[in-house]
Amino acid sequence: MISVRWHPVGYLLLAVLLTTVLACITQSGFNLAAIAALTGGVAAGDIAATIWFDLTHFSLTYTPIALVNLLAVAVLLHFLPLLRRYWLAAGLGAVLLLVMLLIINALAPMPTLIAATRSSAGTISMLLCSSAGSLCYLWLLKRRKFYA
Amino acid sequence: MLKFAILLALLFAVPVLNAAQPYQLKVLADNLNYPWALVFLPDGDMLLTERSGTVKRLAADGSERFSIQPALPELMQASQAGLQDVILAPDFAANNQILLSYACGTLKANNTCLASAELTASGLNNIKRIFQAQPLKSGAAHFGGRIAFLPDNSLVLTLGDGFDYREQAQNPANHLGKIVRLNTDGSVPQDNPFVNKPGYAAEIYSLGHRNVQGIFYDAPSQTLYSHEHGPRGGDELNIISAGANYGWPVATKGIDYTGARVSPYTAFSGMQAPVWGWTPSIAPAGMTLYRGELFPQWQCNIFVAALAAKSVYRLQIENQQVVHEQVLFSELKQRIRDVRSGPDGALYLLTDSDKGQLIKVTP
Repeated sequence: MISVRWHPVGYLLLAVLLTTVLACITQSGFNLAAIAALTGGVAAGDIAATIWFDLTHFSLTYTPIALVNLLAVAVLLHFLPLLRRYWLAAGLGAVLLLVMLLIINALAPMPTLIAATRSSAGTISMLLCSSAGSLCYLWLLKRRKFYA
Repeated sequence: MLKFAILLALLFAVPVLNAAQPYQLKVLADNLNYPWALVFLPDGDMLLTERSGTVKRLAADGSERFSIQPALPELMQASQAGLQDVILAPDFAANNQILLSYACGTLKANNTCLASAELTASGLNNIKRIFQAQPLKSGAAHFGGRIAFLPDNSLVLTLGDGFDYREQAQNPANHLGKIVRLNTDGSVPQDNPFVNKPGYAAEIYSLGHRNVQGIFYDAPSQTLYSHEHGPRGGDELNIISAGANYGWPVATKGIDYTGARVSPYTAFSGMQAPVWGWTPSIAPAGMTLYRGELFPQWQCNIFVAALAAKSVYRLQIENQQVVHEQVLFSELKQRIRDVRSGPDGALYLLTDSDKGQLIKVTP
């Protein structure tokens, strides 16, 4: 079996990519659900086009957020080995993102920057995307050490 | 040869027809704190509002007659919230009644309010809140707040969607994202389009708006024009009809500030399309239609003040369609909050800053 050992920065970027993709799909989902509730439904083609649009546009806003979020997770995991448990890493990513969203909304001119986070369900969904990215990073990190 | 000559003549005639109208800019007043609206009094004076809650009475030369902070019930000041429009009641000559729109409430529970007051030599008397948009919501964004009178002396007040509540613009049971029509005492005209219709707020005149900050009624053409801020792109100029739905957030050419798509639709069945739009956004603020005598070339043109674009957009209208657009006053490099057509035929501009100016435009 051939195993490729990446630098942890590569794992971080992979985790950021995963988080951003999930966040874009989540953002699309909440906006589309709101429109569908007003119009009685949205065609599959329009759903696909909206997700693609968000992957290519919303991602430009969300990638830096995910990068800062997961970089903070990575730094904490590096200096605090006790945190290197999956459930703790998942929680850490979510809590850090929540703090970031509160700061962003306090600084931004509009009440809520990311439309999906206007509702509790949307906020929790975005936090879960961050948790998924944190889990991905920790899994890759542990896998790297296992094969080391 | 004749055709060639005609073509040449046309080519040279077009620049003449579109030649820039020369104008002069004169600052009548400065150090204004986020001025928001201006109205002309029959004696030539002006009333000016500042978002901070100040009402100023200025002489025609801009000198200050008084500057007061009227006791508006529950005036809220934060971000976009504050004192907004001012307008004279149709029977102002008889009773000195004016109307003021403003954000009211607290950061957690607020909306747009309308108050009436009596103008006196030294300030305002008998201030009464006559309307408060419902429901109360949190946040300090998207209050609308422009007022216009219709020929039957009822008024229309523009409202915003509160930013975080955009889907409510399609909910006919409340006032978010609506234009409402009221009498000058705040009561509901009984010929409003949704009076006595179950599930509909009786005050609604039109729905599906985002944040309407420009409206006027043009009596000769019997047309009610309004414009509204889109998000990122999708600013719209609309002709308002009673009971019509203007689409937000279902039909829009704008996207969220984050780049996310608000809706897959730019048009939707049963929803009115705008007559003109701006993408990228210009952030349209005040609006007027010019019928003065000083600028013959600008007759019947619509002027739209633009905050983000730091200019004024002149729109030539034919058969309720925009046929030409010109950007004016961009040399000011100022966010323009309001543009008004004065009784003397001059245009008046308000710039949007803590050192705002009142500028008079003459030939």
